[in-house]
Amino acid sequence: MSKRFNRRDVMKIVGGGIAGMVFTPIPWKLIDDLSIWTQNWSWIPVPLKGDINYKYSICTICSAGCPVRARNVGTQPVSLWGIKNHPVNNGALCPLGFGGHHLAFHPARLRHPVKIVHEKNKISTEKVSCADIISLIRKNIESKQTPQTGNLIAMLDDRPGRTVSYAYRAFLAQIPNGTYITTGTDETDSMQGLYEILGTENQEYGFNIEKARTIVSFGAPLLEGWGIPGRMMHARKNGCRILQVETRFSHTASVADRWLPVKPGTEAVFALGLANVLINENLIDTDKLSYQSANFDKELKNYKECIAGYTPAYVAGRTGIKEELIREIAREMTTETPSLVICGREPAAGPFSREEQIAIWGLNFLLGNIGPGNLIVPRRSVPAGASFSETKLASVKKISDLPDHSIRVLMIDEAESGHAIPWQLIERKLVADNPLVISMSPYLAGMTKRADYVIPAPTQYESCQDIPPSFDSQTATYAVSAPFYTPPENVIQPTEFLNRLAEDIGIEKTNGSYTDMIKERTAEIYEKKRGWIYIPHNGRLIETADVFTGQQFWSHLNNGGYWIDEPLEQADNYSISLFGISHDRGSFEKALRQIDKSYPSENTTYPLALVPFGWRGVVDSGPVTPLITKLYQETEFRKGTNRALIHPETGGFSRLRDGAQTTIVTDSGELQVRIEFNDSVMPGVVHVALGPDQDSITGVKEVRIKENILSVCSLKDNGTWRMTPARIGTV
Amino acid sequence: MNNKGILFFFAGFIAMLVFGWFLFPSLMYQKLEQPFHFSHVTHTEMTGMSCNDCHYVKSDGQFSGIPTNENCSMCHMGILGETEDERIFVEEYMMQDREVPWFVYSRQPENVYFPHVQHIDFGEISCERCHGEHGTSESLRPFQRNRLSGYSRDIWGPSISRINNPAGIGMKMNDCIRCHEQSELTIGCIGCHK
Repeated sequence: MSKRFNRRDVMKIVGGGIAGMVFTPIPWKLIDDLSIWTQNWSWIPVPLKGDINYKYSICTICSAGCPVRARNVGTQPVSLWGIKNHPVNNGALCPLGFGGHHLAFHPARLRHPVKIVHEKNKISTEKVSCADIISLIRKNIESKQTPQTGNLIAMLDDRPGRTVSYAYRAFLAQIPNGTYITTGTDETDSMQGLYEILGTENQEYGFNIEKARTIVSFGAPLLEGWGIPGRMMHARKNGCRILQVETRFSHTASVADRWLPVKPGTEAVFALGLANVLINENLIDTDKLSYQSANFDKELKNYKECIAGYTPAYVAGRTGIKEELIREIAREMTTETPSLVICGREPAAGPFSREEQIAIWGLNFLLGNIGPGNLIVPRRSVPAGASFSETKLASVKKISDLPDHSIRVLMIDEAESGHAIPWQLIERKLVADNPLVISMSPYLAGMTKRADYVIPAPTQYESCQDIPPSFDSQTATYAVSAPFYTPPENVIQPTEFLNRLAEDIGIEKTNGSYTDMIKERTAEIYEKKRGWIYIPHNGRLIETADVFTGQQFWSHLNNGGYWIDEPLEQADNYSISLFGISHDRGSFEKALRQIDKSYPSENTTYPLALVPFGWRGVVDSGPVTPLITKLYQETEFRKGTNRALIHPETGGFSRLRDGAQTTIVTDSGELQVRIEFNDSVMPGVVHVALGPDQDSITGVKEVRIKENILSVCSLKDNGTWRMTPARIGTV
Repeated sequence: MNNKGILFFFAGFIAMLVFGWFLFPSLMYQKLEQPFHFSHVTHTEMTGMSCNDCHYVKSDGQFSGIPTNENCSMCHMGILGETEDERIFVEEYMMQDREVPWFVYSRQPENVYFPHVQHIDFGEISCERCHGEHGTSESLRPFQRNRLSGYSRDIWGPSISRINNPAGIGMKMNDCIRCHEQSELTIGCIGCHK
């Protein structure tokens, strides 16, 4: 052994030291302390300190209208929370709602009217004045256009029924070719099939979810933000069973009592198979149905003949669900009662076609679910307010019903439905020659990036907003979202913008401020002296008749109160059409045959079925709250944009490996995606995620229009895009 | 590797173990003395006060935390007794209307929301469960501040390894989770990180 201490010996000591370090707390302690150190950097925002007070309001991010309790330091909310045992939502809030108070400070926030300059896939903004935008709209209104060249001045409102919606309709009724439109992509549209069966457009219906023991859901994301999310979660806690009919193993399917993975596009066939068993095994209460419906016997005879071919054996072959299981589910629907059937919509994949909706909702009639005291109950509409009740209003139209290239000026309201809207659905309705698109949005995100000009609107908790009932609510409800903040100086309330425009073009303005319009509406509700108002401060329900004055009623609502109407008592007897009022048996059967043929695709060029998926409130590409970044970016609890899930067998066939970058090719174009193998995906199917884009999270300075999966989906004439023939290419 | 090589390797190995387990913890934490000593036992045993007299839950559910001069002013407008600590408190803080810059042993990071009211009133957890025998201390022990994070050693707990830490020792997220699991209380991320 040499006595000399050399460089090699030093290296051995160091090596021993490094090996020894692994057996000490040093690495683990340093990792922990360093991560905490990064939270303490001076530029990391921290909550304010000071005296705490509480204020009540309503979340307006989506149409559910969940009540919130804000914990404030001074006037600044530092956290939002649900209100325990609230009769409307049982105190639940979604991850978006929890961060609603952050949205006012989102990096994509706009604080001045801007012109958007489009350069290839990139956009930039230039400040303009509100008067410049008004002048442009006036010029378009005054230009003599014909229907052939496109002459509609349209307002797109994806959350109709609010007071601002009535203001839009009153304004549009006064100008030539004024048209009020909705995209028809929200959950309300999924109920149109039910209204067709019941032959009514004016009578609203809701669901008595709390009474249901079993819910058979056709694609509705029941436990992922459907309707008023807290109601469904509460029903589930109370033992309501869920049978989820859906191709994809969604979060709802994963926690349902049964997941029924039907082949894509065969949901309606499965529903008709259930109807076939219900009728042929005499599982329906014909006496009750005859009593409820004047034309039941004739309708049943016709319907029975129409669905005679949808035997369990046939349906099993089409849907992939075993024949015996189809019989078992149908029997379960009549033993585990009361059972409700819900026709939903996947937030990214869009609604079912009207005929599919009719086939699914029809099961509720056979189960005797419709009418007061049952699971699908009629409810009253909320009055519009005295001035709008006496004013001429533009009718409500669905955008897919308008002729292509007919809109010259499109104004887009800021409120989103929380569901995906493919831009091409809107784009194809715009005139080809210089359409003018104006967005009234607080953010440079989502559809606003496609606009030419933006009028910055107030965001969450910056102005008084009203909340009409959610589509699933069993009675009429009404609430007012009271503001916490004052909006920035150049932010303009949409009604104020309309008033300035009305003044410029010389038509009648609306009376008073937007808050005045909402006050007027609450006054009309108060005058009926019906129902109750829930007071969040003390958890009490007060009868409307016991509130002394209209001013007091307004004060309750403006402080987080929630008005709940009485259930509507209505005679049981009505006339139904199981084929829908807009169809006869022949056209219904023809439509069903078309639906039945849609899968599997006979197209050898595009052998796969592409079905997008996403999460309500995030798929519309609007701004998201910081909590969502945890779910998408940090934990991947939710699949991010353009993540394609395929079965390993499909991947092997296409010579792909897990994690590969590739392209999805359809008739409408191609899109780069990242492949993820997933055993729960059906072979031959590709599910592509639609999540928040980077601008929605961070509001990057150089905003890009990044295409997502909706841009390659085939948009049908009826405005649906649930399934698209596709193939996988390689990059 | 020859015998000499193995010897040097193990020398480095052992040296690092000694450093990591015995020297590193004292290097990581800086010992700071409180502005002056405060005897909890004097206040509880000699004056008959209880914890709740100074550290209480307000009517709106907020926790009062460490008392301010206003709370102490009823007794300490003038010097009581002959101790140097009392003189410092009265002359340097009370008389000059300065709040005492105490180092708080249990201060949590800003992104943590800990409602005392829920743990004390609804969970019926005693103060000692998290704060140990602090309420019966004769004087205030030195505050050990983490040189990187700035937080107290009490958050990490006395054992540097944190292996088999008993309940009530340490106030890191894992300690909260373990206690919640023992009490069969599930709570999501936003229960504490609002």
